[in-house]
Amino acid sequence: MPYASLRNAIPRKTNKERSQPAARKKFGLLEKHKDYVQRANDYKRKSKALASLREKAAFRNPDEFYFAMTKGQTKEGVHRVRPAEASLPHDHIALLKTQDMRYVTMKRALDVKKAEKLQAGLHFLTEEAANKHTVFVDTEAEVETFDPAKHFGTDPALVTRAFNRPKLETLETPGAVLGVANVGELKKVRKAREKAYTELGERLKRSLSFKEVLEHMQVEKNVMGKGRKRKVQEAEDGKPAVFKWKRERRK
Amino acid sequence: MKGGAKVIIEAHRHEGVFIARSKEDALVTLNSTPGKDVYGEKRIQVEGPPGPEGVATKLEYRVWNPFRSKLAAAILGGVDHIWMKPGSKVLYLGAASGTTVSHVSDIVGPAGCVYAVEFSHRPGRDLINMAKLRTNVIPIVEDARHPLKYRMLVGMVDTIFADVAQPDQARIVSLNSHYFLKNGGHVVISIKASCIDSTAAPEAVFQKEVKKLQEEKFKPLEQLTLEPYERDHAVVVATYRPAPKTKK
Repeated sequence: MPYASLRNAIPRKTNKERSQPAARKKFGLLEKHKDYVQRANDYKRKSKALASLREKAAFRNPDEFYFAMTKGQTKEGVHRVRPAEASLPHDHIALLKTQDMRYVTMKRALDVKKAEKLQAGLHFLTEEAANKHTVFVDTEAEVETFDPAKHFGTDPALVTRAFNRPKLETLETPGAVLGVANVGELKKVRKAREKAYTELGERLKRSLSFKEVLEHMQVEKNVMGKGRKRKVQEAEDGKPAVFKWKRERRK
Repeated sequence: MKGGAKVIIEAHRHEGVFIARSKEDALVTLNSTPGKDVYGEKRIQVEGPPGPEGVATKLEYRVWNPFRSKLAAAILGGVDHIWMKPGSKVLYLGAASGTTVSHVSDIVGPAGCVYAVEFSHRPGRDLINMAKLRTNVIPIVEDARHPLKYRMLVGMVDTIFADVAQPDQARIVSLNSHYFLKNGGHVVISIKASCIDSTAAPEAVFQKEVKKLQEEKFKPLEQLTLEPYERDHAVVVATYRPAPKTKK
């Protein structure tokens, strides 16, 4: 364009577009040229798309075939095309899985630690003994006449109470039990204790299931790694599948 | 844990041991150094019976975790006799960091004495630190296989407790008994089946260990396994050179 630079040298009057007159305020903002261009472009794009689709429909081959058609299906009257496979690259997925593993490890460590803390004060003092107690005696006759209450020197009612079978003389001493509170207080304390035992049981159970999950994740990670492998054993009752890798000579 | 009213302390069959029932239920011993714990265990304060001036005394107990201590597990398992009471002299083989030793020192009290033997230096250091506050504990950092090395430190004892987890545990115990255990004294041995023979059945291992003790002039009194606190562990209690039975 000739004289373009000279034209630019002279300050030009900027065209101001008027705003909506007060009398027409009820119609909202007045459309400017910029807005009109945007609207027009949008309209053109849409009508073009429609025209092209109409054209495609007009020229459609009724006998056409694509392989995607074999994967598609109609479910309850709605046509579905099978979604594309996960598009993340292999190494990204591997990285995500290690992060999952770390999260599960952290959660498990939390549970184990808290269970340990609870267990320090909860010693499973129950009536039924889980262990085996053998008392050695001298003769066969003594085996026949063995009386646990007499042997332990305790009340017959307390024989099954393995965690503490107080001796008869201990029971008679006045200071055998200290700090008895009122009945209501006792009930509250017992409830709190039962709650603590439940929490301990749940934490132990959950830490075990976390361990199982971790085992599965580890196997999955190994399978995603290098080397030729084959499945030796299917996954069953909580145990992950077992894979065997082909031995490769190390250089 | 605060608020003595919410705790019930029940005297145990074994003198110096108690059961605390509160929000927790736990085996406890009376703390000989009130206000101080040894290995981060919980402490429980209770108001004791009124003293001579009519003022209630404050008692402090320490929780004894059976998941960490074989002796505690044996007590909760219902062992008839631990042969440790106020005033007893105890030789403790395999003391480690002195966690259980501190509870034994609570039981035997100021009149008793615990000789704690540990071979490794690192836990031995913790043991010595613990003994600084508890004057009835004598820490010995030596190999329990060579009692000659610490014979100058240890007098005659009433009881030997052994938790050494070595294949030749019976030999170690009998060697120490020949040196330090009085006639008619007792041994309390914790046996870890997998440490003696990892291929044999645990029951068979315990039986074999009892046999070995019998050959060394021990007379077994009782044996108990430590479930649910430990797996494939047993505690055996035996008398050393018992006095011959008098005929009736």
